[in-house]
Amino acid sequence: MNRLNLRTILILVILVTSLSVIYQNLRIQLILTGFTLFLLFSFRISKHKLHRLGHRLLSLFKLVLTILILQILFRRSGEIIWEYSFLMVTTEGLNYGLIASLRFLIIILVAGLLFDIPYYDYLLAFRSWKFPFEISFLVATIIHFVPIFNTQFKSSMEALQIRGIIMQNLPLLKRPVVYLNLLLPVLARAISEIKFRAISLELRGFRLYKDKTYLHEQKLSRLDLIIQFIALIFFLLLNLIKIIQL
Amino acid sequence: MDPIFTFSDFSFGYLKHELLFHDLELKVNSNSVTLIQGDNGSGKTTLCNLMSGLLTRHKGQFLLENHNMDKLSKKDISEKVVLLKQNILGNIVAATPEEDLIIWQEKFRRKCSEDDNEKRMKAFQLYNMEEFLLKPVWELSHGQIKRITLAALLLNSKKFWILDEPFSGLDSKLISILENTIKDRKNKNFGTLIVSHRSEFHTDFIDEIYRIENQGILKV
Repeated sequence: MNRLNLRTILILVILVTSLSVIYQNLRIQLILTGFTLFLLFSFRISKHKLHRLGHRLLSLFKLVLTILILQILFRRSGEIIWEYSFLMVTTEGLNYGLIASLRFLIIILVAGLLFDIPYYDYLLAFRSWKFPFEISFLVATIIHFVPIFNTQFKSSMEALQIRGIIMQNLPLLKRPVVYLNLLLPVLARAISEIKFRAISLELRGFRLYKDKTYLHEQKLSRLDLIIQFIALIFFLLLNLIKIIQL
Repeated sequence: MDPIFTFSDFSFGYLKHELLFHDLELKVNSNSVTLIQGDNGSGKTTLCNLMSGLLTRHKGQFLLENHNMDKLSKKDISEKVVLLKQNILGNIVAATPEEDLIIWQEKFRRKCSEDDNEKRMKAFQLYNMEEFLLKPVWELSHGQIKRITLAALLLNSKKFWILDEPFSGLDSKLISILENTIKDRKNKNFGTLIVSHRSEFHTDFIDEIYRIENQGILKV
């Protein structure tokens, strides 16, 4: 699976996330989550990367759980399963809660997969789809920027720890102030770097010639073509069923 | 001399089967100046991160002032040691030098006193930073940012200093100021650990020199 072309992965990711939005069905969401996990685990061979993903999931677990609880508590239609004072858990609330948290989980998993793919692979994939270089460069840069931003933010958190400022020990109302203090310099630094990036691009003759050449090429294997074909057919079929049901 | 850090039978690796340190034995004295050298990738920065509590999950004995590092909270560690990271921007959290040092003092918990303001200004003056106090960090040069971090160290004079490549990016005048500060601290019985891959600075004030080699540390 590690040899799958990025174009195939992108197609699968687009189809999975689209189906997740289209279908308000718990069973389909479970299948999609399972498929995303399969895609992720088969793509990430290295144990180190798996460990990192596990860690990322654990740290976001609280957020997924919050979404689940909020959805459960604020949906009041459907059959009542449990009730205490003004709190109520209904079948519809539970259903929507699970669907929303699974959707969120799919987004986290997909983001984890996409952000770990090298920047150059995106340029090659977009080039194969005949995207204008200006657009593919922009998209690839944004995707590339997220992990950099994450690293810088982590580094700032470490700097706080060295100063004896432990986020968990701070009063709840102080925490947003601290995050704001960290976020502004990190963002400002990133924006100021753009100026140097633009100069560097000009010095390299960015868009000076009409056609850009690439050192490597990414060709689709037979497996890629089969997977892309099956995925598209599957996607169309599911949508057709959905339209017929309506 | 009392050791501040004691490593015994100590092992650490980012991956289970790829150890960076294996059966390490080391004692770092709390009131002397220790230099640790090593090639690129030998584990110098990792050692600094372990000593400052940024990295955990080691094997073997690792003590900070006779307390097991695992049992100490992040706050406890930060009250005893201060780390100057090699990645110079990684030491800064605020938008301006003034704000950054205020965060060191206030820790989002209290307001600076007159005494704090005086100490801060003195620290900036030593590194000729007065004119950059309110300038955004992203508009400062590497050397100027380094000076902010060195000024911040002065606010932590009673802690044990761990300095990861402290002399890189400094001109000879600033190197001399930093060396003198370390010497002054030593005279007051406050120790420093310097981690560097070069030894182009004066070593007359250094008490012990170690070298990281083959997953261990050897005394030079």
